[in-house]
Amino acid sequence: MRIDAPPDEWSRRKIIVGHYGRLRVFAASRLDLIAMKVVAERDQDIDALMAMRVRADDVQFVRSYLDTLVRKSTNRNEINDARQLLDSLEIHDSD
Amino acid sequence: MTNTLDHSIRRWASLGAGFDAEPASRDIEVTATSIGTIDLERLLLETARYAPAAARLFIMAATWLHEYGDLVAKHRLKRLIRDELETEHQATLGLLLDAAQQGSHALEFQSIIKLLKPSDHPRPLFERSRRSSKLAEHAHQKASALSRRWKLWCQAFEFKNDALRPASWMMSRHPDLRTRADFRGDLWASILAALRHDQGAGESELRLAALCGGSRAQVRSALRNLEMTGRITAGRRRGANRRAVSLREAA
Repeated sequence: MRIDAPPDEWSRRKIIVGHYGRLRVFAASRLDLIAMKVVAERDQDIDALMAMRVRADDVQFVRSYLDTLVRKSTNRNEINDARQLLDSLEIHDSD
Repeated sequence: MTNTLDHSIRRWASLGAGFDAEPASRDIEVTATSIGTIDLERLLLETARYAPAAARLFIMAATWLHEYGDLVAKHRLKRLIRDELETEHQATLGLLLDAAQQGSHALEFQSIIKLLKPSDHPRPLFERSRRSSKLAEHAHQKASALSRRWKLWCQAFEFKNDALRPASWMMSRHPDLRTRADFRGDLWASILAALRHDQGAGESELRLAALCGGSRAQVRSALRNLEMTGRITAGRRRGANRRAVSLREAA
């Protein structure tokens, strides 16, 4: 896993999946998941982004997230590619 | 189409490919021409038709084929490509098989790939990238050299071996695959697969040869061996001048 990928404070936004005995299972929030999929930008991530019907507020969050990556060690080309992908996505209205 | 895509995914799940889907039960697989096992070669044709709608289907099918390509009955697959696969899906199957054999010492599917042609029109492999010019351009920029050769742009990907169940799990659900593994996808595997899945394949040696993709002489020779090892029975019915062939339950 890339250590730069999880957005700051993702653990505050994590959501509970369930309790399995003494084990509590969490998942990344929708916003964090979208952000990480945009930066990964693999074919299967783009499929997932389409299925998640990205909204304007999601895009705003991802833009801020990409700005934070500039301050980390993330490759500039990767960030630019992610911005280009973000601009290519169809934006859906809030449901 | 979603139903068929889901059905394909469930069948791959039944073969041990990791999907968030219930594996197809054996009951679902029973059709007029099968006796309750997965028709692997027709599943490949279906995958070529529906994988453009789901990147994970394409990647998991390639991963499975990379790991278990020996199980594919090559002669029969060639026959099915000739007789049943629509021209517009041939490049997708070519790219799938070509991607699956990358990194293998022996190129498992080379003889099949020779039958398949690249797409007539260069374009993204996946449908969702065809929906907008920006996404199509993104797909073009990121396309692997292999996908450019097939004129169906997709990114290079790593095989997801950790998302495959072990062979023992798959074999316990599909015992007929053990024989395929023993034959390593050779003509014997195609003969047994044709007898199992193709209507009327056992009516005569001639028909069997046509449906399994071998020559009559090759098939006759292979049948002798399969009969000797108790996998098939062959013989003339009273009054018939053709030798009928049938599969034994344990084959």
